[in-house]
Amino acid sequence: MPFREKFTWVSLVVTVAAAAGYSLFLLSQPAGRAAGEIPYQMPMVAAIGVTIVTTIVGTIVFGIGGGIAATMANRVMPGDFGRIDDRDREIALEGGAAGAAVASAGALVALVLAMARADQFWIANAIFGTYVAASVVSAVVRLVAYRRGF
Amino acid sequence: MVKPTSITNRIRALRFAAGEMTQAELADRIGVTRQTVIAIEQGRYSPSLEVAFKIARVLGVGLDDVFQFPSEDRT
Repeated sequence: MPFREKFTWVSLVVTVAAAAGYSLFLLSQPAGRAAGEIPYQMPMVAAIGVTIVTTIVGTIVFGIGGGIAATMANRVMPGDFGRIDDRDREIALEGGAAGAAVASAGALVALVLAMARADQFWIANAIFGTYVAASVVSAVVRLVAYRRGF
Repeated sequence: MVKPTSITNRIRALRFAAGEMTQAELADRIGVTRQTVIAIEQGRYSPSLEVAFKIARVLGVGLDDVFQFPSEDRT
């Protein structure tokens, strides 16, 4: 599995897990609590922070660790270890374009909420949701490209 | 959404004709990953013109001997 594909898998799993954790926090709020009273800030920051840190650590563990394991098993350093080629770059562009389309739509939603003077809770969560959706769509498009062809 | 290429190739046969060259060896010589060589062989990825020429050169044949593009529209 190419290094970039491993990174994409790690990024997808971590993003979905962090978003799920944050969603559980929101769902655990008492019924009838006003959106403006939900202390979402720290959990959201934690979800974003965990996503970034875990993606980096996970990529190191599964990418470099996998390469080391393969090297030990074959007793030869794979020649393409850590290599990023044209296909990786083209797939990254394809995924990036899909993610950007989702991000644009999400930004529009956040803009409308701001214009409508919606509570900060809704604006912040619309942006967070956009970030998650764009990351997931981008990762899925890249993985489909890696698996099914490009 | 991306779709597999309609370009076909004879890389696998040409590799064996070139002293049973492995996918890893071909990948190293043209500067791509083994997975990209596999994807090209299986018709899941069309390489850039530069990589295509490198493949042909390493295999010691012309570009037309490696890659074929169907003349009829098969979409």
